[in-house]
Amino acid sequence: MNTIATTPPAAGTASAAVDARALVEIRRVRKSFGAHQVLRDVSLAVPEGTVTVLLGPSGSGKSTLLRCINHLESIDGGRILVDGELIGYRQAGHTTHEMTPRQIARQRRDIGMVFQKFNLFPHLTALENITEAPVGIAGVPRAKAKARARELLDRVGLADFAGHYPSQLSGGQQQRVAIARALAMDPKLMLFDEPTSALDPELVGDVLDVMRELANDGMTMIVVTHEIGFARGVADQVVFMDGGVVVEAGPPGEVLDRPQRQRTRNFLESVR
Amino acid sequence: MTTAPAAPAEQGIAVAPDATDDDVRAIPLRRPWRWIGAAVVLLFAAGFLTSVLTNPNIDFAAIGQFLVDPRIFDGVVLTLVITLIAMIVSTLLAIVIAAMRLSSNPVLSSVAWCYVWAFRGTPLLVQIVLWGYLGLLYEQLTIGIPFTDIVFWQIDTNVLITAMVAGLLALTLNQAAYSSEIVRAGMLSVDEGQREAAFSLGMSPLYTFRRVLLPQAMRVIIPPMGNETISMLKNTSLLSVIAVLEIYTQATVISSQNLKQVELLIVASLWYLLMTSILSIPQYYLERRFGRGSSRTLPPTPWQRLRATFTTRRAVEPAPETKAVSAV
Repeated sequence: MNTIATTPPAAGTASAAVDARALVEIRRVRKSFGAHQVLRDVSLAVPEGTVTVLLGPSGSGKSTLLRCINHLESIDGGRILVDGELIGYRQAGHTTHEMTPRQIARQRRDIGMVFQKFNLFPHLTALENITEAPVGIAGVPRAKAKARARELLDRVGLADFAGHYPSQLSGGQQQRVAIARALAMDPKLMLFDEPTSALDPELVGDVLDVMRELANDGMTMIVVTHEIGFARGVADQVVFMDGGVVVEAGPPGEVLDRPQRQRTRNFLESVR
Repeated sequence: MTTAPAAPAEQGIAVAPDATDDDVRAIPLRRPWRWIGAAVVLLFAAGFLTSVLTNPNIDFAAIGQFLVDPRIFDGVVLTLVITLIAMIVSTLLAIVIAAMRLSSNPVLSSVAWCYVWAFRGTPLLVQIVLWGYLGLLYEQLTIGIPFTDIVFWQIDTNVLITAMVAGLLALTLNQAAYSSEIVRAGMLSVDEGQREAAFSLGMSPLYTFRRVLLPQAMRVIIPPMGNETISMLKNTSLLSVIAVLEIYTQATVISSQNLKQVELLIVASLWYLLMTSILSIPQYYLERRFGRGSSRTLPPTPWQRLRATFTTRRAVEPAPETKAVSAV
């Protein structure tokens, strides 16, 4: 009940609408900052084309877990696989060895990430923010990358803002550019780290709309958020974390409406 | 104002007193001390200028003559060449030292710290003389592997290290210590989120440094580097102690022959002023280039500003007549 099967969902389960294989497999991941254990044996599977929302109080380890998936944080034990590929490490018998920065960079191309504080490159225009990685890293011809960037800007509702610098955009607009920037690398997986937490309330909706559309298009997404409404409407799976462990996980109807654990209930009451 | 068709005369009377009541002329505070202060300063400035211009001990004809003397020209060119080479090489070195200082390798960061400590902690003049005396310290200079007999290249010190090379070495190595701290401050000014965003897009550390971190650090680095360039230009005069023929040395050589010391110092100073004034122009454009995106609108270039003052008259348009009438 309190952990998710590390194997692909069995045929008989209720949420078997998605019978895809797991795109992300997190197995017994452990992580400490000094003496403080942030993740204790976390296991999780994210089927391809589904949306997983990570909920939990601050300090529960949900952001750290997200940052481990693209190796912005290294892990101390366990393993993380994306599309069957071990992230950040190569295996030799019973141990794994960390990859070189160059090899890790190669893996990160397939994993998009959106940050709480947008982290757009302030010295580049919206368009240049989007084309920088495809042109400089993936070797896409500039004209082609520009056309794609305009397409993406249109998709996030910012077609008229290609020439604007981040400082000339509102928070909500910046975050949508950041989403377009991540999508420009054609990732298999998108990670969202509290994408709406730094936004003014009236700007949250636009960003959530873009994410909702992305989910409808079949993008595999892992989202750390406090937006319970978004979790209820979009998530295929809701994972509640506290104290570095997965307390409860399942379809939103179960975890959000009929939580089994007291800790989950307390949390849901506090954010409501 | 005359919208109401009915009884215009009566309404005019009703509105007018209200409008005139609020129509008050606001007179700014008078500041007599500003005028008095300005007059006193101008008086002293005029007094000083007259005392210089009418001084019979200054040979103005000589100043005019030596301002365009070919020896002075040679000195100006050499000063500029030394400044340029020393600044470029020291900046490259400074980036390496700053990267070492910021590295997590304790040996590299301590060596970088010691370098800055030594070169910043001793006077530039002493360093210049020391490099001039390098030949006394090492008769031969050798490139090879330390503690072995493997030698790739060897040369007589006094052949390689001429006064010019010694001077360049001293200025470059000293400047690198200062510049490395400026570069380091610039790197520290870039938000950590920028590195993470670049990494998450699959950029390698080197690419991230080159395309994301350095351009942003430049915004912080350029203004103090402009200062350093101007300092460098003036510090080249210290090379006179090892007889490098830059402009100050040229001026003293000439004045030791014709005994017009003050005149030649004025000549040199005028050239220094001209050179430092010209040097601040590229700095302005560099700041503009790397300031992209940091403010909502770029400031106009001096050229644009100049054009604007000539094309638009100073005439301030009167405020449009307001249609709003206080509602009673």
